Amino acid sequence: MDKTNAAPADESAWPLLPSERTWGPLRLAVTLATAAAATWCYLIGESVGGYLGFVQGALALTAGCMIGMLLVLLAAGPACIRFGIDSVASTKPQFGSSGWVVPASLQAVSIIGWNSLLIIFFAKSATQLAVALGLLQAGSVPVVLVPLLTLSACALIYLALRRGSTGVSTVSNILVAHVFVGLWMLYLLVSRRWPELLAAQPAAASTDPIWNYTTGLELGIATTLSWWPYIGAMIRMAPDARSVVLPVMLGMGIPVPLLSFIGLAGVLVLKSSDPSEWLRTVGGPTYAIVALGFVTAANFGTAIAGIYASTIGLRNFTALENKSWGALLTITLAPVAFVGVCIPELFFSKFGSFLALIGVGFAPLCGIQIVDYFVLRKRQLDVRALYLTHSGSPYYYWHGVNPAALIALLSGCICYVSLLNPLSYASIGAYRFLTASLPATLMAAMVYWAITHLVIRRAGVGGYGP
Amino acid sequence: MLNPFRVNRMPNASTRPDQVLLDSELERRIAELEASGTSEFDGWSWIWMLLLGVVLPIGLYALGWYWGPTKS
Repeated sequence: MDKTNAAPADESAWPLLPSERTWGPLRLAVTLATAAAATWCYLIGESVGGYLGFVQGALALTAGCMIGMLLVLLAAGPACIRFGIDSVASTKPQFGSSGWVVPASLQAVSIIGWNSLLIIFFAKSATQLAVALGLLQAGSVPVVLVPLLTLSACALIYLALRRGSTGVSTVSNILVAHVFVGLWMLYLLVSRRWPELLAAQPAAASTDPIWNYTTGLELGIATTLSWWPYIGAMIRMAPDARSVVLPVMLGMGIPVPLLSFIGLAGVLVLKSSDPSEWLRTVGGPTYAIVALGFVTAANFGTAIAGIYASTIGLRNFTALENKSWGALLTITLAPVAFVGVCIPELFFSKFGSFLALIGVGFAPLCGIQIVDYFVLRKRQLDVRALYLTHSGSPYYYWHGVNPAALIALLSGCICYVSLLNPLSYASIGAYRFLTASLPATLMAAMVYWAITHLVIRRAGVGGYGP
Repeated sequence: MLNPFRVNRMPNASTRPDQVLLDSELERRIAELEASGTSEFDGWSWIWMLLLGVVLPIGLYALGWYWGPTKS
């Protein structure tokens, strides 16, 4: 592949050739770590800190994040690594040559939601930073400033992503420094307030300590399951599985819980998960400025990775195959800008519910992909069939849709909400021992396996062979 | 500049199998992938996934349990 063609390859949804997949383990780890570390870490930590103390919360959250990361890697990883495709394209064997729009929609909703939140955070942090630096007066911040900053952030993301994956990597190489700033902030709080941290009691803990502990684990699993939409677009840039596993598990799985400890510690000791607030208490205004700079940079880096992944996902739609990269970026950024400008406060207040809703969809999706690839297909995928949409092609099923995947997805979602209501956190007894994401994953996998075994294979569709 | 990733002709639901023709650039990519073989999780990858995705979480979970989920 010559250099002329190498640039647009990473802006298409077509398979990347080995020669185009130039990201080594370090580059991938840096990009994933930058993408993973963002303001949501504080919010995740804050959520866990409502139920658990620092040590238990940290252990449960880390355990959950690593489990979730493994599920995501096992689900999307094989197809993305083998063929250099993105997460959405990796679902075509399971959902069908048209049915993949279901996970694509899940991806779009997830990424638009997350990135809207991050852009709002970005704008708010930048405003606070301007106030802290004396550029603005605290009581007289113009109302239009946050919307204007939101639009500016979208414009910056657009400019950075004009270079495709190179833009993502370049920005990540610069912004990865914020991960270390975050660790420094955590060190400050832990080293100065350790006795208080150990003694701190969670404010919203249930009377059932096992429920609290399981909820800490569940929040970790659900959080990293939400990386499913992002991961394919990143790992497709690495040449082989060896270059992917450690960067994903360590570069993406570890920074999220580590930086979430900042929010966990903050909410337990200082009753605030926002480091820009408590760093002022701990170290004065200079530290607050550092924290605000950190938050601003962190959200920007993550948003760039998210918009890139989402834009690649859109490329799978036939109607968008021939759109220019700039037009696709605009289509992806438009809803983010709309949310950030028109309904930022409404969206901001619903974050907890949104986080929980994410786990509902992605857990079953992972179960379906894992059982399909490792059990039913015995690791055999037809890369050509991923791009065939005519009747009779291997992944056409019926009218391009595999009903087994839809039923399994629905079953997994029902299983999840039966165990844990993601909005009210009301749960049934089994949840306290099982979590909700893990049974939902298993349920979807079992339903998918059963229907495929009993119906799909016998009908001779789906490319499962004899 | 000509974009080699633009789709010139893609099959759709009404296309008969014998009429299927992928875009030439896509066809070239698929042919190269099919010819060269693809990378899978190897033993080393599985060991790390097992350690970091199963053993470590179980260890951390057990440690947290020992710390006192039934006591707090």
